[in-house]
Amino acid sequence: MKKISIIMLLLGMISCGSYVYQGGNNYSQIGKPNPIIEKFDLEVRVLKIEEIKSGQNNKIKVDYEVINNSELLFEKPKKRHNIFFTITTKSNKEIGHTERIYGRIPAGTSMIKKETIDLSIYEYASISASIYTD
Amino acid sequence: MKKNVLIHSFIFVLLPMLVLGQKPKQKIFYSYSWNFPTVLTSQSKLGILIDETLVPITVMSEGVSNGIDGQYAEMFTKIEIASNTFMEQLDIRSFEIVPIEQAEIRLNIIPKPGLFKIYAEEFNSGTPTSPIKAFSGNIQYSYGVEIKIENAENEIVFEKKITKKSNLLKIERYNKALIPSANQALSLAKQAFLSSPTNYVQSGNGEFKTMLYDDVIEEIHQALDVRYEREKFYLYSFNKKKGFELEGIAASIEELEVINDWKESEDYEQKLREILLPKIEFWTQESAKYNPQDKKGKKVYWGLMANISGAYYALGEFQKALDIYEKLSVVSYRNDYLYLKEFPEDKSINKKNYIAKDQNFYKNYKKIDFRGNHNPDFIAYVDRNENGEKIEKQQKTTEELEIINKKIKVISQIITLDYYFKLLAGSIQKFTDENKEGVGFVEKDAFYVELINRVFEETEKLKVTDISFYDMDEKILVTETIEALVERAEPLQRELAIEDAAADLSTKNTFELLDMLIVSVSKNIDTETQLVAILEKNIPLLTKKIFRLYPDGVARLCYMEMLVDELTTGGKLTYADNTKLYKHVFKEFKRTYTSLSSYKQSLTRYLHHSDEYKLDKFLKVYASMYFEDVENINTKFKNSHDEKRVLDILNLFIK
Repeated sequence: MKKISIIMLLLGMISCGSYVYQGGNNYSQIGKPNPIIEKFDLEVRVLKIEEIKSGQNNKIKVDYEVINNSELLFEKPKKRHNIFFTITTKSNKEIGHTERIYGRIPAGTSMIKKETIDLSIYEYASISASIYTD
Repeated sequence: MKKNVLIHSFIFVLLPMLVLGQKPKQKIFYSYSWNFPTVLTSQSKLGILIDETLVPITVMSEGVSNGIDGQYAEMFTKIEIASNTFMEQLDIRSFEIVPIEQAEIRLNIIPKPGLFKIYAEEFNSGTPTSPIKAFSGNIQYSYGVEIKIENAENEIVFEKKITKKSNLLKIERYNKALIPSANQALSLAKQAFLSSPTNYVQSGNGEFKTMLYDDVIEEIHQALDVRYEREKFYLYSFNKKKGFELEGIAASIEELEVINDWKESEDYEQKLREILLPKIEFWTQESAKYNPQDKKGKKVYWGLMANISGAYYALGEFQKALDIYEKLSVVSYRNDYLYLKEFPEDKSINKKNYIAKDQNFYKNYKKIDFRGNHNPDFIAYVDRNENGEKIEKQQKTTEELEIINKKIKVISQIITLDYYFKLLAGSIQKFTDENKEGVGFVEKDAFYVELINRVFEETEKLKVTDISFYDMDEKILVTETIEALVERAEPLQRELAIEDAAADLSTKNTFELLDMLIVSVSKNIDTETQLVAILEKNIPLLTKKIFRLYPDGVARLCYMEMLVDELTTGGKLTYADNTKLYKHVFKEFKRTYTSLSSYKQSLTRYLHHSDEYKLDKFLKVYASMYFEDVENINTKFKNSHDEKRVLDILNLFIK
């Protein structure tokens, strides 16, 4: 019985984790119908980069802000909205990373998120981010 | 009767021997000698431009160029001249073939319009004394080519049209009987043509190619190349003759027969001198024994002098050969053997012409030899449409090609890892035994797990691949695709990583249970379909951006080489250690090879004909592996993987 409880607890934790990954801090259970007009004016800004170096495995922790400049609530859009990060390394390589924008961003507000990007043996030099839709 | 036989023997055998005994017998010898071109230039960079014009063909019957009763009045054919075959045949010595835009001298090959002549012809089927008049129906094809050589200043330095006629059909009988009228013969020839005009056009093109590889190539060699060619020269021997000591001369000629077998080599000229000079000396000494004015002696004298002349000619000492000819002109014997004058004279003139104003040869020809090193890819083609307008092909710069190659490399890795993972994931049941609880595996093939891990690691490595050379759309596509590859592989890789998934949960500690739960949860997350959808959408989009070839074709070409890598490279799968898995991968290799071979025709549709041989060459490499027994692959084809090979072949299909 004790074991089953532990399993249930762990299951719950892991499930939450996956939702955290998918929805971020702004995940909300409040559901409203999707706006029909899909022209969102979203903007992404990289706020902070934290380099995590451990031997041959470099990572960066990126704090970024997704700003909804449109007058519409951004929530479950028909088209997937994604962020494309381009990380330039000290050896002048470019490494790509994509992240889908989930969550609910009311008009005129923003959402701050964190993302860890693996750079393997390469060292971080600069980053740029842009938004694209599928 | 006996008497008659004796008389006849005397007349037909002995008499000629007596009379002709000291008559010089001509023998043909071969030696290599230099041929000097008619186009005089010190420049060495040659560009070749083949005009792949749609060649108009006229069909003429009854003397009118209006097709056959109005049919086939306007036909076109495209003569495809494969660059590799043309280059092999040309194999020019004193020029380096370069891309046309870098050429100092340009060689243009321009096929000329063709003509089918359909006509009847009278012939005699009997004998000259009792003739039988009959008619034949004929199809004759006339064709030609223009060779034009231009210098860097666009001046034409050589121009020649070569035209030929070939009889493609001659009908002399109909229903086993001779054809009595011209009309019937003509009608039969017309019917034959109308039954398959395309076959006649093909035959015509075949004739054209024969002309191209024989006459045209020879013409180009004579015009442009300093060549060391095997050529005839003549020497004279003698039969035994009473009163003459001719055996020594006969032996001297016999000893020289070895020359005919000598191949071109660095010391060829030296060897030739070493064998011929003593013979010249011997013939000179012998000639002193014969009086050139004596009726019988002059024949031997002439033969010996002709030998000396021939030997000097073979040695390239043309003036000495001509001096001997001068001496012979006073001997009243075989004065019509003008070759003794013409051969060395022509060569001498050509050689003298090849001396430039600075008194040096235009080229230091003995030290130049580009043969066997020409790149057929440098042959340029001009394509034209039916209106004769040029269809320009865009040439890519070296920088552009470098970027394309980088792109191809990444795409090739993505494709092969996608295919390989699918193969391995699809065969999981063969290499594992799933636990009844549906969590983890009771049995796992260690090599299978190792391989899955390796493929996963290689996929993960792609996440940090350089994408700087892609444009923005491609960067997103590549990144999304790689991420999808990794995400798709993660659950299987994690699942297999759990050691001995328990039938008895009670023996497990918390960490093991956590691992199993991760697997369980991963299984529940239904993202695989989405990931596969991304891969199925993105990989074709990526390939279409770069290649003309359909994505599956590109994929199979890449995958093939990847499987060779797996099967032959040290440190990867081995037959001895991982037999079951090795056989499985080899089966996949064979399957891929078979599908590629059967696709070959659809692959060649995307290729210029001059590149088709490259695809054949590429597939040939795999053919020998395909037919080998699986247990021998590891050893016989050790380290056969060549990344460049697949990049080269994919390069043929770029946009």
